[in-house]
Amino acid sequence: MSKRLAVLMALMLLPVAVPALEDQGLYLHVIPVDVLEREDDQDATLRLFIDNPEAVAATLTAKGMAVVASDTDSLTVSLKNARQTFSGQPDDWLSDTFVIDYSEPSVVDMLASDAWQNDAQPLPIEAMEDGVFDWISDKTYARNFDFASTVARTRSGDCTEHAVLLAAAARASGKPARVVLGLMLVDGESPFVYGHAWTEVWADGEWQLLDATKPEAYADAEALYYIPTGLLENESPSYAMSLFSLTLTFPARVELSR
Amino acid sequence: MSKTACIPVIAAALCVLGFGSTGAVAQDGGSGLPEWLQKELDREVKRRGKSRSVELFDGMLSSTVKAKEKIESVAYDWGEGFLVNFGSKNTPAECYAYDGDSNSATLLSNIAEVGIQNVLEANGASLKSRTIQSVIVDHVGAQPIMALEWFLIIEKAEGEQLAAQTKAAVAVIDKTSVACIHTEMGYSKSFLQMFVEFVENASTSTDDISPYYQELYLVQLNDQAVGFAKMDYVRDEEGDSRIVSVESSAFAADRSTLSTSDGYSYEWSTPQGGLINAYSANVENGELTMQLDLSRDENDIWGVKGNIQGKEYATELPDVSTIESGLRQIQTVRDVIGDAERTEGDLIAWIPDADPAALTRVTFNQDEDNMSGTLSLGPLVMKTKIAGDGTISEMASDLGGMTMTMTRVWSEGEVPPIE
Repeated sequence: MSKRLAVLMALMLLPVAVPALEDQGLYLHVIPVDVLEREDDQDATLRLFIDNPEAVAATLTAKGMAVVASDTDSLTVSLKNARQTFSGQPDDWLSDTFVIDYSEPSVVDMLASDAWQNDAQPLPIEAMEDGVFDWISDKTYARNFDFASTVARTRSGDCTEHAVLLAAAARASGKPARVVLGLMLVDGESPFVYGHAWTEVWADGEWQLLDATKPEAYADAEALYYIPTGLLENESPSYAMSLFSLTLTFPARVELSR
Repeated sequence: MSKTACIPVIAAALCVLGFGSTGAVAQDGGSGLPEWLQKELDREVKRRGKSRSVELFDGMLSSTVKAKEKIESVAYDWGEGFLVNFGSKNTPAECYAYDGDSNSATLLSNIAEVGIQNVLEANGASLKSRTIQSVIVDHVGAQPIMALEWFLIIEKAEGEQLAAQTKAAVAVIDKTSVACIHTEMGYSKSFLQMFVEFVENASTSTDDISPYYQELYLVQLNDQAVGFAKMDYVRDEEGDSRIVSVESSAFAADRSTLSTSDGYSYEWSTPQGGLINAYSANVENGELTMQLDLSRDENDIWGVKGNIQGKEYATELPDVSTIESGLRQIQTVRDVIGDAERTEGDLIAWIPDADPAALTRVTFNQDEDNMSGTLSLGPLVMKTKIAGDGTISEMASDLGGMTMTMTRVWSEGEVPPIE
């Protein structure tokens, strides 16, 4: 029995989101959303139907997430903050690692290229976000999970590749950065949720959420909500196991109360 | 790849006014395509004619297939080829055979690109847009097959736009890969029938030692077959086993991007199921992404060496005396289901795709019904079905609302119990 394909398929099921792709609706794995009417005095919430909700709720709460309820088959998070970040100190998130390998020549060359030169030095984090969006010219779901050096070289990928390269660019300039996996709620007339990845960068004394895929490209979206469900905490060659753990927090369906 | 045998194919000279390159293309009618274009795409041919024989590599691979004319063979530096007129109006199918059984998905992608280039060269045109019409993964007995169809809009120098199509199919027949392309509009089913017929009738002769056990799995995401895995178990004169695994997957990452992945790995195992050494390599989208060797040095220290995503990589594994092979995994499941007192068994294995730098604990938990259970690789948990011989016949995992299933579709021989 081959275990390799099982592992590979699990990697394929990681969040893959490139909102800039024109065919997003056909190929994005969209998680079904049931819309409920919320009580007047309540914040909007998202209820995630997942395995082991109580354990996941405890983990998310420890990381500063606003988990408002959990039971045997679901947990509910507040949507009060549309761009919620995890808590934690920045010290651990500066290293040149196997996955965020910013000292590799392809990343160094990218950062030294004309495309990355700017009058403002060091580069503001928003300019880094734009830089990664522009650098990854081939927006595609075809990649599994590439290291920063691979992304810088191939200039190709989906949300995980954008998040990894942005983390590398930030760390190379001395700013702590980390890759976050979670859900994106695109709210509007027909809301939908999909698995997504983005980057948190430590700036001005706090974690700031950056998304180099620029999902605001959704013309009909009334609001975008980032719901972080896990950090890529293992950036060593053993990173795949950390990614698998994060897939366990991906729901089969969600309920939006708004 | 040489193109000397390629026959220029005139793409169906169809004006595509009113059909934008971003228009939806589906295989059935009602796709929004103009009726005359859909008619061209839907045309087929009745498979008639004499069964004609093909011999390749001095008779090491032979087959028969119905064709209107004698099948013409062509030799190349890198392999052999043949042309089959299966009854389409203008163009035969071009087929190539390669010595080797790995990288089917890469081969499928590459051979389809040859077809696209043939269309462009024959028309003096450039590619305006491409759309994947279908990706098929299936099997004919022991042979896995993959097929792909591209719908093309090409543009001539004077600005005229034409619709065209390239179909490709690949099969692994024993240790040989066979790939065919057809570049005339339509004939999708006819082309695939011809290819399947070739594979069904194929026979091989080889001096290689016959495997004592072989199995073939198809991999599905929800209801879509996206890949296969084939395993061969061969025993040497000393009784050690070599388990070779060849895996490929292909699916439409978006409407104009084919995502491919190929893997080749082997492990040598003692008759007792202890690992002797192992090798694993992955190719993704035509690029080598991982190549690792696992071996034990003279001090009995296990070491991994190779490269991952282009980076040199070497490490020592934790201090263990024995790493267990696929043979031991089969025996572990058999031990659990054969012992009324036990419901769980585990072992430690090297699974480089999960973790190249450490050993992974694989745990089997038996369900109450005896012939099913769960297999856990760290956080990845899969429901399994157990066949009568104690081997796993199906694995399924639910992740984020999607279901991945690996189903055994063919097997031959048996794995003897480990004493």
